[in-house]
Parts: sequence; C-alpha cells; structure tokens
Amino acid sequence: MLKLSKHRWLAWLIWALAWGLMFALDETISLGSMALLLVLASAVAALWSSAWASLFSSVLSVVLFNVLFVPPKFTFHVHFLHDYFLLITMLGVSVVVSSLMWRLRRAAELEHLHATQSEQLRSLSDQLRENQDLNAHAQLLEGLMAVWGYPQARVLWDTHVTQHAQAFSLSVRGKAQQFGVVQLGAQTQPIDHLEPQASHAHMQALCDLLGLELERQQAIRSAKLANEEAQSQKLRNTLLTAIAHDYRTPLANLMGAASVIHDQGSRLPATRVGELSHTILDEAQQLNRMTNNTLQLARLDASALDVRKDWESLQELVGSVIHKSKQRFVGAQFHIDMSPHLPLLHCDAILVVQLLENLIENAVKYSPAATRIDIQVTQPLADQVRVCVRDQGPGIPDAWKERVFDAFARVDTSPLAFESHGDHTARRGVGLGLAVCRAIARVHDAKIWIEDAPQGGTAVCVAFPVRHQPEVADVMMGDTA
Amino acid sequence: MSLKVLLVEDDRELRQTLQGALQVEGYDVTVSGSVADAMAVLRHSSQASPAESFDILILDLGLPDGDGSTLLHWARQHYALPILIISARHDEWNKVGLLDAGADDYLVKPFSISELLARIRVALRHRGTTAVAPITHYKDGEIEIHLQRHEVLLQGQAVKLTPTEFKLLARLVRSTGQVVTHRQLLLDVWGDEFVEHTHYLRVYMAQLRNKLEDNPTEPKRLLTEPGVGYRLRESI
Repeated sequence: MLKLSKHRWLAWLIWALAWGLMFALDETISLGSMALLLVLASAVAALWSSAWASLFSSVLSVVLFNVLFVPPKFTFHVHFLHDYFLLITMLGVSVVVSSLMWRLRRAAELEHLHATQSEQLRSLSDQLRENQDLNAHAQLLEGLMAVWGYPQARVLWDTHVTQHAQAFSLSVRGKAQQFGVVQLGAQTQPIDHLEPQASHAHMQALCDLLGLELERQQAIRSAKLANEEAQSQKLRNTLLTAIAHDYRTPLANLMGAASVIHDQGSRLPATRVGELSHTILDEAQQLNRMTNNTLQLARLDASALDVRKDWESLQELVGSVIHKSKQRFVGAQFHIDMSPHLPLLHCDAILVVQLLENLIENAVKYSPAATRIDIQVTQPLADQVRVCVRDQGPGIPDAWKERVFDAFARVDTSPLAFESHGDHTARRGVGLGLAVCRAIARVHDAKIWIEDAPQGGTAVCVAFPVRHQPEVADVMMGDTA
Repeated sequence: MSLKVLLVEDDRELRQTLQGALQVEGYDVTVSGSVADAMAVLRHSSQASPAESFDILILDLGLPDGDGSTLLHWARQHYALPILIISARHDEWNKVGLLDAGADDYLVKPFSISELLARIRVALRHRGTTAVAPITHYKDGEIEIHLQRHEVLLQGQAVKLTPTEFKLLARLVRSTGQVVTHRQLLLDVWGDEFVEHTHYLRVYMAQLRNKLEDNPTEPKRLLTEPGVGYRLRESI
C-alpha cells in the first residue's frame, strides 16, 4: 500500500526514458517498433502507478505518439490506413497490459496486506497471553490502530462509555460481555485505499481478539477462585475433624478426673484427690495451648495484618521461653548455646515466643523423659539468625520432614515411627504446633525446616532474616561507667 | 481488718471460683458483673467512711455493658486504688494500652489462683505510692540496690553502671514485682521523643543483665514480658 506512493517516480522515469529513446531513434527505426517501445513503457510504468493513472497515461501516450511521430507529424491526422490499425492496436494492447499489470500488483498488495493482518493478529494474541495488565493491553491495541491510520485511537474500559459511544468506535467484546470500546478518532493517513471495509474488519478482529482473551483470563481467574474456595473448604473440614479429635482427649481426661472428685470425693484419700486435680490442671493447660495455636493459625491464615513487629532481642525471647519451659517441663534438661552479640530482630514478640514454645514443647514430647534438649542460637550468615531446637527422640523419616508442617499431620500414623515409645499420651496434640510455627515463620520471611540431629533425634531450625540494625545514639552525655 | 477487693467479672462460674478462693485467703470480696454496677459500687463505697473504700480492683476486660477499659479510665481519674486486669489472650495489645493507661498489672486467662494471689500481693504493696514512700531499696540474694545512695552491690562489691543504666534499673526497682511497659520505661528514662525507640531498651537491658545476672541468657531477676515490657522479680 505504502509502496505505491513511494515509487510513483519510477513510473515517471520509465515514461521519460521511453520518450527520450523514441526522439533519439526517430526516423532510424520503424513506426511499428517505436509503438512497441511505448507499449512496453506503458506496461512497466503500470507496475508503480495507480489504475487510473496508467490508463490515462496509456491513452495520452497513444495520442502524443500520433501527433509527434505518425505522419503527417504535428497533426491529429493519419495518412495511412495501416497507421490507424497500428494506433488502435497500440491503444488496445496498452490498456489491456496496464490494467493486467495493475491487477497483478493489487493482488500482490492484498496478499501482503493479509499477511500483515494475520501477523498482527498472531503477535497480538501472543503479547496478550504474556501480559495480564489491562493498561498494557490498551497500549498494544492503540499502537496497532495507529498502524492503520488512527493514531488518536483510545481504549476505554469503562463500559458506561459504550452508551454514548462515538460513531467511529469499535467494541472490545467477548462472547458474553462487552469490556470496553476503542474510540478511533480522526484518521490521519488514508492508507487503506485498497479495501477500507477490509481494514475496518481487521481492526474489529483485533478488538475481538482482545475481548476473547479478556474473557478467557476472567474464566481462568474464576476457575482458580472456585478451586481455592474448594481447597479451603476441604482444609476447614480437615481442621474441624482434627480439632474435634484433639480436643476430645483432654476433655475426656478432664471429665474423668473431675467426675471422680465430684462423685467419690469424700471417699477418696487426699493423695488421690491431689493427683486428680493435677491431671485437671495439666489437661486444662493443654487445652489452653491448643486453643491458642488453633486461633493463631486461623488468624495468621486470614491475614498478616495483625502482626506487630518491633525491634526484639532474641536472647530475651529465648530466655523468657526457657524460663517458662523449665517450670512447665520439670525434669527436662535444657541446654542453651547462644552466640554473644546477636543482632536485634524485627519481629512480633508474641508470635516468636509462641513459635519457640511450640518447638520446645514438641522436642519434650517426642523425647524420652529427662533427656537433653539443645537450643542453639547462632548467626551463620551476616543477614541470618538461626534458632535450632534439637531433641534426642526417634527422629522423623525423610518422607515426613515436609509434611509435618501441614496442619494435623502426624508422624505417628506411620506404623514404624514411635513404636518404641510407650507413653502415647505424651504425643497427642502435636497436629497443629508445627503448622503454627510455619505460619509464624512465613509472616517474618523466615525459613523453617527439619534436619536430623548429629547424635540422632530431630532438629527443627528457623532462620530469621536480619535487617539493617537501628542506630542507638548515645543520648546521655558521658554515658559511660 | 481484712482487705477489701472489688472483683468485676461477668462470667458467673469464674466469679464464684475467684470469690471463694480470695475469701479463703482472708480478703473481703465484693463482686460485680458490669461496668455500670461496678461504678455504682465504687462510688457508694467512697462516699461512706474511708474504711469502707476498696483496697484493690480486679477487672475483666470483656463486660456485657461496655469494655473494661472504660471502667479503668474512669476509676483512674477518681480513685488511687491499684487495678489488676484479667483478660483473654487475644487482648494482648489492648492489654499494653491499659497498662500504659494506669493499670497496675495484668493476668492472661486462664490463670492459676496462685498467680492471681501473687499479683494481688505485689499490687497492694505498691498501693498508694503517693502516700507511702516509694520503694528505693531492693535486696534479693546477692544483689542489693540503694536508689538514694546511687549504689548497686553484687556480692558486696559495687557495680559500675552508666547513668542511663542506673535510671532504667531505678525505674524497675520503683515498680518491683510489677510489669513496666516499654512505653513507660522509654518515657521515664529517655523522654517522650523516644517512646517508639524500643531498640534502646533491648540494648540497655542486655547491658544491665550482663552486669547484674549470673547468666544473662536466663535472667533470674530482670525478667522479660514478651511484647509488653519488663519486670524486676520480687525478692523472695
């Protein structure tokens, strides 16, 4: 299309050459040969000129040929009958050849146009798939409209606009709904002279492509949502079943102990009442911890918005957890190995304490009574602080090292694990602890994983990222000892 | 004469349990189940003879006719009695706000009766810090602190503290046995433009522990209340 106007000068050149040659060879060659030269020029010039121009120039050249070369020269008269034939044949051949040439060229141009159009459709489709952003889509489409002579084309997503859409606008629509309109604006370059209808149809096809792609993305999104909804429904059901199961055991023990005191209190020896009330206290504390974990997991799953981070000292947090754990697990031997000069962590103290408590509780539960529990706090990398809690229990099979972090996963469902441990009651209620730990680690951009402890047993490690430390200015003048 | 306790708690079971336990310990317990009722009881008792007024208020946060914090603010404006908050765990941050607003201490539900009695004893010891001379002396095992003499002794040896360390320690000594929030410590030791600079506390507490604790990782006296503040353990 564009080639036509660019190469029009070539047609003029051909005509000039032909006429120059004819003047040069006048009287040297026969009139018939000169006529053939003109027919050739007319045919070649038709390659680069429009249909009407080549027809006009063919007729004009025949007339001029008659005036300038056919005797008597410089008149419209023709002396000889055979010269009439020559002129008429020449006119006929010129017109036929130039119109054939023009049609040939037009067919080639149309083919080129269609190739361009399908290439545009294909590349648009690719680009739409790569990018999900509406603004980027609009820019792509506007760019393509500019190629077709509408540089002011604007994509409007607001579907309300369609109500007062302008005359020159195309709609961006899918099968079921309209997403927006393209307002074409003024056409600056009338380049679609070949088939204006076809290029409008093509622009609409581009819009339709976008519309279908938007519809497809919408369908994918809603399918994903539905899938997530189903997943979370499934998780909720699993959680509810598991919570119900986990709560029943301590509740049964509570009920049992309390009802014995209630029904037989007067007949029981004082030591037995003491034991029973101890059971009640233990089970109530167990229920309390499970409730805290369950609530925390639900809260963290719902949103991370409630996390209140501040600069905290891991030494303090670990210290306070150990202080409480020593009171809770009398007999367990805690060994703490903490690097001096640890950096401060930007974290939620309450959540990190809960994480550490869960790790220690698990370590105690999964170890033989009164064995050593190691708590190691190190800074292996400049930007990482790592807490590892090691027990001397039976360890966790590799296949379970990831799965134990799922809510209510339990290693003791495997028949091989923990068979050697008689005390079954010590192990219940672990289902949620590590899931909570993982959720807490996640809101702190920390990693949590399980490895085999060097001397057997399990090590659960958490790696917290270290942020740029805050400045502590020496606000008190002369604040030295 | 026995000490008078006003217990504001809307759960009937817990109220009865606590009332019974406190009576066994010799306290004279009045119970109330709502903000409005508690206000009326407090007002009535203060209008009667001074002997009738309460010695301590134990306050649950979730009450049927309003938040316990309403009662706390009101009571703080009108009375000097110590206030002990009992709350459920999800009130964690609310709790810090209440301590900053003038509550003396808090307990997270569920708690054991021995914890409650210990907190009541501490709160009563600090009762009327305006009338009674403030605590300026602390002695626990090998450590002895004289605030007026600016002296800290560990195993009879003087410990050198920086002025800031001493101010921080002094603030904790004045509230021995009670939790002091981060905000209160930063405000009293560094000043009001530093109340957000929690990291100052971490650094200076670590220095204090290094100087005063046998094992700074497992402090015996300078205790951490994660997310809330610090507590200097009562001497036993």
